[in-house]
Amino acid sequence: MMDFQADRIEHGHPRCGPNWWFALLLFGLMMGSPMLWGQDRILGDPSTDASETAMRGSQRNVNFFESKIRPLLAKHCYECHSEPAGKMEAGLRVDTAAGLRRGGAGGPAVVPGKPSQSRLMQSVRYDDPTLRMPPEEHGGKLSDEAIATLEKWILAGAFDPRGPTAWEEPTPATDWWAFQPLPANRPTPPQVENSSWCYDPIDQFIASAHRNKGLMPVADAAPETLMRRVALDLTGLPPSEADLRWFHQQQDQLGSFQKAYVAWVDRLLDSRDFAIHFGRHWLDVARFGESTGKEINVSFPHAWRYRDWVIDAIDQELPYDQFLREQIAGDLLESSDSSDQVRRTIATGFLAIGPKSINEPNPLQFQLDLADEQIDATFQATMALTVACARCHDHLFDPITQRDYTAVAGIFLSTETLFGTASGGVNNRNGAKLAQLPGEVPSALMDLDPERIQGMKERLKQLTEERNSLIRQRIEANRKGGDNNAVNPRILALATEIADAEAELQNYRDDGKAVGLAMAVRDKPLSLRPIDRRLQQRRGGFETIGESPLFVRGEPAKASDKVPRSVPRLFGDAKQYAIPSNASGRLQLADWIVSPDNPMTARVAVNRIWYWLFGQGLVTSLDNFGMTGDHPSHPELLDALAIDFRDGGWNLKAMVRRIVTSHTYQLAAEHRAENFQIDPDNRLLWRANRKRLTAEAIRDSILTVAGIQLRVPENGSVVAAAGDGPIGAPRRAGLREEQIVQADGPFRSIYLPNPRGLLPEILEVFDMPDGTIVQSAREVTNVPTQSLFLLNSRFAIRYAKKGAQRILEAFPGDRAADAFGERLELAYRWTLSRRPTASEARSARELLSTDRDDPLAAWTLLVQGLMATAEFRYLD
Amino acid sequence: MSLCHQRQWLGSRRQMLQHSSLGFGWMALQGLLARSVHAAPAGQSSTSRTAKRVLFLCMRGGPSHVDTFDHKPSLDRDDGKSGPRPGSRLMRSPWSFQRHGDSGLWISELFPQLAHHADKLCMIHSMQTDVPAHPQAMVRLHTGTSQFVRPSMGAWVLYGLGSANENLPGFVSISPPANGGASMIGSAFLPAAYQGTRLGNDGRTFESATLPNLLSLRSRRTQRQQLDYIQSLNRQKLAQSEGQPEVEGVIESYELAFRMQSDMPKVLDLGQETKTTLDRYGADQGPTSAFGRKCLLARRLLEEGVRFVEITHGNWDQHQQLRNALAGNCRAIDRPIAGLLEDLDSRGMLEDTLVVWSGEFGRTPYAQGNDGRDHNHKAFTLWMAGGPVRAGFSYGSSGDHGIEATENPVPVVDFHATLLALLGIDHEQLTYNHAGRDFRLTDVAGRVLKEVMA
Repeated sequence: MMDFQADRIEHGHPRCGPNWWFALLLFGLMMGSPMLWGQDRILGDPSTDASETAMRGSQRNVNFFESKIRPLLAKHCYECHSEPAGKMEAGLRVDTAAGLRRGGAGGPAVVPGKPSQSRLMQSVRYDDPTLRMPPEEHGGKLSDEAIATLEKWILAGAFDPRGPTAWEEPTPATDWWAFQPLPANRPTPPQVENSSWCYDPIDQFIASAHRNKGLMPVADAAPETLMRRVALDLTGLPPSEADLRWFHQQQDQLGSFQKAYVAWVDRLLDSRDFAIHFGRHWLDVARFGESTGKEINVSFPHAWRYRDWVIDAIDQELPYDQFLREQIAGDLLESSDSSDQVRRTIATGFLAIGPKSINEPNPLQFQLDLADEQIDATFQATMALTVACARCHDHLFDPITQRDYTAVAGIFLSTETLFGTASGGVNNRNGAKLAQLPGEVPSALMDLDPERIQGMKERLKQLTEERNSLIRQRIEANRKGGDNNAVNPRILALATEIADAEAELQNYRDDGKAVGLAMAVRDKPLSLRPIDRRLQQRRGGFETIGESPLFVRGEPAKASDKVPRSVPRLFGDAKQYAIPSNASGRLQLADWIVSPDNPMTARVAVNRIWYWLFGQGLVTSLDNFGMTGDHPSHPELLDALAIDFRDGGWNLKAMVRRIVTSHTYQLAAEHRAENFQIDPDNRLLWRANRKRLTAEAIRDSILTVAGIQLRVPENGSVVAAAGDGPIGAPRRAGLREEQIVQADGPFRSIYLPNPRGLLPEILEVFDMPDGTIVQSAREVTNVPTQSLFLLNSRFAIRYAKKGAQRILEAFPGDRAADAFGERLELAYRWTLSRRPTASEARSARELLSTDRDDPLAAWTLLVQGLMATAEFRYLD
Repeated sequence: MSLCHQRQWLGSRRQMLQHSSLGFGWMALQGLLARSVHAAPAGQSSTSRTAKRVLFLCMRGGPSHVDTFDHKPSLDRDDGKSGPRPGSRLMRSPWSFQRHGDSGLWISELFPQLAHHADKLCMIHSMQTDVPAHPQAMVRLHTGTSQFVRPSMGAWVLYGLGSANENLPGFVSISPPANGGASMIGSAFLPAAYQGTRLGNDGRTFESATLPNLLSLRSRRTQRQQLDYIQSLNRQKLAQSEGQPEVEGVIESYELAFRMQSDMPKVLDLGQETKTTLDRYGADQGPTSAFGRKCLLARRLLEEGVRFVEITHGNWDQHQQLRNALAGNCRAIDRPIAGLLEDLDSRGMLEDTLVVWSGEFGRTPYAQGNDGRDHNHKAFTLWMAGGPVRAGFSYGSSGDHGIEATENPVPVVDFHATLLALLGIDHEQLTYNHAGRDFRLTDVAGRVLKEVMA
């Protein structure tokens, strides 16, 4: 058994994606199994030449190269022989295929098929005392296994997918499905026998897969089930009484359920609630959170503007490509008026709201981490690509080099991130400014008297003077020979007070009017005034637009040569997206992401839409379309939808409408044993998936039953109202733990506070993510904590009681059993969107007998009970 | 002995749900009894003594093994020499090590209290995992794979041993990470009843490492009537169609929740503990109080029959500020763990309680910057105590410098196999049939480390 472990590159970066073949490899090794990576299987017959080998198992060859050879070269050779390192000792570079073949001063480093003639082999074997690589001071001789691996690779033809130069690598060196261009023509939906089953081409793709696998789809969902499903899927709320009345009128007028259903779908799509529900989906993708998270968790009081922008953008049907462009480069787009400018500034909040280690002592490290987080979020949110894995080394699995990463990092390092957290005490070493929105925009804060502002300014002035004088005194003393560098607690305290005062003042104009502030980004200046140059040093550099050096192994102290800013060399002609020297390049990056040359963005988007409606993506790894992700269950359907989405104006609502009016969407959630045997995970959609409602939909449904009129909160967010400060810290400014945990109000859950690491109880109990990472799919747990919440929490009882009150108001009576049938029907319609069965009526009557003479108590028990059922939170 | 097939059990349970006229409490008890079939020793175990419960101390972030439990004199000697990565430099541990106890196990000065219990510990110095990235390694440590959604080891242990107290959750996770923690307690395809119950999360204070909503405002009788009504609807829904594991999960979780109300508040109330006990765990005040209370809470849960308790402690990801941050972490857990071992021992619980301490991986013996260490998945230390582990023993080696397991490498899957063996369960026999095949915690691999068993 060969041990390949020595060959594997170590990578310290925490976000490198999982990968199945890597696991299989390890597993194969552990088992001592010859099933994988045996020479014959992977590399083909050693006697054939490289091109032939490449033709035959190119994917396996790519995998072998990427898993074994590239890491080896990168780890042991790149430092002295590669362009990224800026060194090509002895004229040799090993970071390109051509470089290896050509070799250095001594001749070809690699001769395919002939290890003995390859100088690479001679040097790693230490045969020749004058040619020993890697040299002792760079780790010394490779392990026997590593040497054997190299030999095996050369013997088999030295397949090397890398381009002629590291930099001008053409297209992805892989035939992984997600990197392939979308077909020029939309895949034709397959012909199926039962064409009447198909309402939309979607159904033909699905039906065809059913037929191929011998699956028989289940029957359609019952009308009331379907209506509940589509209402909750589209708006996160159960169908209202008015909706249902409207529906039945339509059905009478149009004479068909299907027609009325389509009309109803349009009505749901037009509602603000659709934008709220789908806006929340996007907030999961955009890792929305209202605080820094991490060790020092400080609030983002202005993050709510981004949240509201997302809802508005969806409500106003901003095309998805523009939706992405504005989030990445809204500030750089031409705006027709100041309200446009305001909106687009806020949109870039996407890049500013990520988690941050604001206590990071090294300012350069902080900047690099900030850019890295932005790269990670941008590429995962738009393209489901883990580009950030290439921070410290070439991506182990996907065709992204560390140089590609650095080219993109330059874009973000040329960008100033305005995220606030100016206060936060001495532990905040990296607070930033915020964007001041032009014109009159609503603020979460009340206006103040001008005198108050004047007072605040006075105080700030005094504090600053005191600090400056203390510092001057110390400088003076040290100049006179003193050596006092001890911490002066007063200076420290002043620093905090000054930061807090500045942060507070930032919120107001001189006349006391609250300023509209937002989290946003903007391009850095082209040059600095001399006075600011010192600042540059203090902040670790990157104060102007410019290129980023490649940081060897991602270490800030190891800056190598600079890499020109560029979009990743994955698709299309990078020259088309050439970045001018006077701009960060975000605009070019955004254009590239949504360009027709980029097949991933549209695929990723339609796949997420599919997940939001079916509970499972065509590709299950929603946020990872790289080689460690999943294959699509219906590749042609995915491409057809992606093309339709792109060519149809990137219209979210149109895509949702198509999917929910397909037959496939309207199937029942019923079980069928024969199908289950063939496709237990229902990847081929022979039935509807039973979906747990999101935490927000559970809460909002409960509030609806209680008859709460859901509105938009006036102050933006609880976090906004509390202002700058730590999250969850007792007895300090900021927000106390219970203010967040117990947060409630007559508005939809999207408006509840959403700081990282601490969420309102009901949302946490039902698995809402806190926005630390891009996470499109919701986790679902099913635990007694949830049962206890629904049985005993004040929340559940309060709203059940309100629901019961409404029922009793609709049908008054002194006794619990009065107007029993009418009341019960109402209770069922509001909670489960259906009528009670006869046996349910019997159980209900029994329950009501517990409190015969207190109708409110009795009906509260019943309404709460209905809200606690599995049926209430699982959508059939 | 063949283990009862979960599929059959579910089938018969569904029939019972549909036809039984008996109450739900009885139902759930039947389920527990059915499960306890797994609790019988599996025969293949090399030992007659087995542990009956597990406490997993999960150190999130990847604790540095070469600064804590894996003594490397060569690292002292080679301080500053080049490391395996180009340009990297080996960095000696800033802390000194000493031998402790009769066994002479090496322990760093960061653990002065725990060092008194060296003779109880069994260290594995050659642990390995596959990817040096936190999320994947964490999931792998818990489920055996980061590729697929699989049950966590806590769920498997509970499935294997059954619950010993029907009034408490059988698997409890104290202060798990606020984000992405679901897989650490997940039951995947195992029935939802095997999921862990979370107490608080690591973003919150200790006071919230408790269960809210345990107290009903209604009389027990009224609540039971309400619950019967809820369950009658759930049962009716379950009867409508096959293949609704979610609904079964809801039904079970209500029964457990109902029973938990009577026992759980007492267990969670540390006010019953004496000053001496609190002192022992460092639970009174200072930097040890949060972890000390969690350890004490864990002991109380275990004592009452919880099968698997996990405490997450973080963050151990010292890329920077190793000297301060690592020392702070060790200070926070040293006394609590020492107190815990002492307490378990004095109550006679240590002999059938398995305590496990581990991170998701270790750290590099070479420096990152000048005061940090990077992730290292090729070598890390995991230690166990209690139950039938070979106490005062150290197994495997991570070589001269702690770079990579060189002697008896132990992949996570072997640890899982061993964990089950220590509980008297044959990892190859503990299976669950899902989607047409029998799944195991160890999937198709796993070697029991007989060497670490007494």
